[in-house]
Amino acid sequence: MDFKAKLRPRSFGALVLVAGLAAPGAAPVVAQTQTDPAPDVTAAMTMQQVEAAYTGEDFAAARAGLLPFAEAGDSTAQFRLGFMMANAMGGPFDRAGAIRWLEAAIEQGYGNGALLLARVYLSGQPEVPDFTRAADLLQSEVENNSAEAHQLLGGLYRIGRGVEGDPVRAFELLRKAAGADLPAAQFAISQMYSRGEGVEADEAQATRWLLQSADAGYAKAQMSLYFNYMKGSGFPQDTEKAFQWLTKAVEGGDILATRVLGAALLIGDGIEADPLRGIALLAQAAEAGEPGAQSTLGYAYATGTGVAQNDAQAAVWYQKAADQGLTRAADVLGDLYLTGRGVEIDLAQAEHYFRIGLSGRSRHSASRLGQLMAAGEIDPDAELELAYELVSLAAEDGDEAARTWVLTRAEAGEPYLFYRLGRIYADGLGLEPDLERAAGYLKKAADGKIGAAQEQLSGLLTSGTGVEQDYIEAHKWANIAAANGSETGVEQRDILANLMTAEQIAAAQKRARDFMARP
Amino acid sequence: MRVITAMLTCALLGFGSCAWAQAQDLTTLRQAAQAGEASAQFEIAERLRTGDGVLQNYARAAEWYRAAADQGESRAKNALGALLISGLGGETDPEAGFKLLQQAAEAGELRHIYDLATAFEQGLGTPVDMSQAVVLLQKAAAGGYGEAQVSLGVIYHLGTAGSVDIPRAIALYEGPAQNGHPRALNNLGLIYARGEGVDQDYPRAAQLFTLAAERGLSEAMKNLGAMYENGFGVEVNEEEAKRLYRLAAQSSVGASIGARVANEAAAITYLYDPRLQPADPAQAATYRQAATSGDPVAQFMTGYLLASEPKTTADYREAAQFFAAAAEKGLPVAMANLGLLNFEGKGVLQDYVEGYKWLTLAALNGPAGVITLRDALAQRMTADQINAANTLAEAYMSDAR
Repeated sequence: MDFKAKLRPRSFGALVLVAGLAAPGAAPVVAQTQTDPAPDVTAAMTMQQVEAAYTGEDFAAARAGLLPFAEAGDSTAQFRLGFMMANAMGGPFDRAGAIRWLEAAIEQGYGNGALLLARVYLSGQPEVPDFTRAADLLQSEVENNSAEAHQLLGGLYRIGRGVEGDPVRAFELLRKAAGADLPAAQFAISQMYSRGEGVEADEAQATRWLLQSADAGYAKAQMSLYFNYMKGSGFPQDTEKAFQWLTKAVEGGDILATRVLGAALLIGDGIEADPLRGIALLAQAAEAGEPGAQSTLGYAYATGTGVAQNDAQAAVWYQKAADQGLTRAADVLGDLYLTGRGVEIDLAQAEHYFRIGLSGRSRHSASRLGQLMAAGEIDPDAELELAYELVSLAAEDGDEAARTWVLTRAEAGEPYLFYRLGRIYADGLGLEPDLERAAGYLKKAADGKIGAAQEQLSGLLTSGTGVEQDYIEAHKWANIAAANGSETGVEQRDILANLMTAEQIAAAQKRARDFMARP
Repeated sequence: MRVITAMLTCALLGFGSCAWAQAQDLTTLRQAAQAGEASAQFEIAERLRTGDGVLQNYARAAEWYRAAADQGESRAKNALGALLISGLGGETDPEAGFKLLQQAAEAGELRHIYDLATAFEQGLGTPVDMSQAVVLLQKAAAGGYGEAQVSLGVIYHLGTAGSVDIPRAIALYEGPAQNGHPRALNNLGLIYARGEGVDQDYPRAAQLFTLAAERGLSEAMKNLGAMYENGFGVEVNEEEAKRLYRLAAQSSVGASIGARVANEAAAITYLYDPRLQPADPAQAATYRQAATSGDPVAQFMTGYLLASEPKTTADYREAAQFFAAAAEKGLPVAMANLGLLNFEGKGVLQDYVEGYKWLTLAALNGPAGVITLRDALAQRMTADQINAANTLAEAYMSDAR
């Protein structure tokens, strides 16, 4: 988290970005007149020297010089030290230290630390934020009419952390903060009007507050307007207005907006194509670490869109995005390592990135891993359940080696794989459908007590698809599936029962009973 | 527009109206039967056939029927004949069964004459012989036997024994119809609905269908549904038509339990023993705790709550497990519900044999209605299945001892 605040270096003003809850709002704190009796300390620096260091922007010296005073119980020094720790001045952000000294100052009745301390509690990275204490502090600040406290506490009531969730109270507090021109609160109020959250839904009010927040330069509001104008939701569809707002967000330095505009310009999506400017914006967002921009830049290099085609550069950018866990980049990069485009062929790297893709539920990566397993490049036996799934997916995508692997393993005693093969041949996944073969495989899977196969086989036997029509066998399998909890089995069985004689049903029930009695 | 479904009910071979045994002490009855008293042997057989105070068992019923029949007891001959024709009791011999029906009919009782006529009409143990059937039905009808009048009416109505003779059919239907005989009412309704040999009279037809439907005849419900759907003799009422079709599907005796369940509104009601306190869903956790430590009543209640308001199919499986545990401890109402789950195939394999076994065992000491339920569910079973269930139930009882 970046705690570099826009400081007013000549006074102890507090300004901290709080995770997800608040936008910066300048709230300079006037240093109080020291009324405490002069502390009895032997300090390395006098307070005058500390203040001189601070004014001279030698924050490290000021931070060090404050410590003895703070330790001796000087509440002003405690506040100032906590402030510097919270704002990463003269040293790194120190959450625990900031909490310690701000709490100490407040305990002594120092009047100005509560809001700052609440922000520190809410910052909570990597520690878990202490919502309860933050809410306590904010309650008293709300009584003191602090607009930012209204905004923060309203946010807590909205998400129900540190206090019992209460949309009505949340709306009340945020509305006050919005009235005091805090754009994050205005954006929140817009959302609440739009969703009818804590207030009766009112699209006109939602729009009014959204525009106010966006006009005040709040990027989320500007992006929201961009999306609304693009989709025509809440507003008449208006691409031009949409891009005006997007551009404003970009000008405000919003990295997501920069990527979105860059991508649109690159291919001319909703706006006249300007590949050069598109690339420039994408590069800016990519350099700032935005994974979507990195991936799109990779695409630009891979396809030669707006830049000279360059596989090596493509790989570099895809890699940056994939390393941040972006699934679609991992899909492509894995393929690059597999085929040696822009990189040396490296199956271990390919596997590494396909696994990132897999963790993002990518079907492409899953299927590729299955291919590698079927080809013996990855040991399937180390993770057998996963291998069955992945190789089956590769087989469904038409990979012949994968299909052979699945069949071999099925015949070696894995009836579930017969079920997968049955589906492949029944539905024609990656090949021409072959219903007879499908029925044969499903029969083997059903015999192996695979419930889904029993259901399917019952259906084929009922309609006589790929196998001779046989109501008794169909009833048997539906009944068995039903007994194992299949709703479809119940329905199928009861439909069949209406087409069957009592003798046929009796025979089917007997076969089912005998099957269930098998070990 | 839907054409009225033409539906005429067929005479089914029944076991004759069962003369319920007098509240006679079973032991006394058994002693008398063993001493060779034919009427006692017949009474014991009747109890064994229905499961009235004893474990229901067709094979054992057949033994006592035979003993009584050998002594010339005509009711026993009729009953044994029916068993031999159906195969219930383990022995299937339609020809011998037919001969017994014949011998029974010779004694002149109207319903025995009617049963013999049915055998001729349907070719049970004898080739179909409509003229013989008509002669016998006329005899029973003349004696005032309602079923025979209706069956004979159907024969004239459809012309199955020669030419169609609607006036005769109407004449035959009218008497039983006045006594509220549902098939007579329905068939008469059809004649007026179609205007067969009479002026078409929708209001009258609707009225007759209504009376028959009120008496539980599913065909009449369907017919009345068609009247409402088309506005014949009644105001068009789609809702009412749908309700009647649904009701018909539910109450159709031949409908499989499965079809009844598949029908949305036809959810099965599980049996409860009124001697127990009502199961309170708020107490589910308490029941479950007691159930887990082996209390059979708590096991039953837990199963009952699960099966009555299942949230997933897994709830049925659990319900079946709890019912089974309580059933093993001898709780009849748990046996009955386990049997029901077996019939429905919910949470367990659908297995009518197992289902019939549990309902038979439950009937021995069970809550009211188990016997009726068992016999309704048995409609979809073969004789072999029922015989197998009888054997299993008897084996279960001797194991339990």
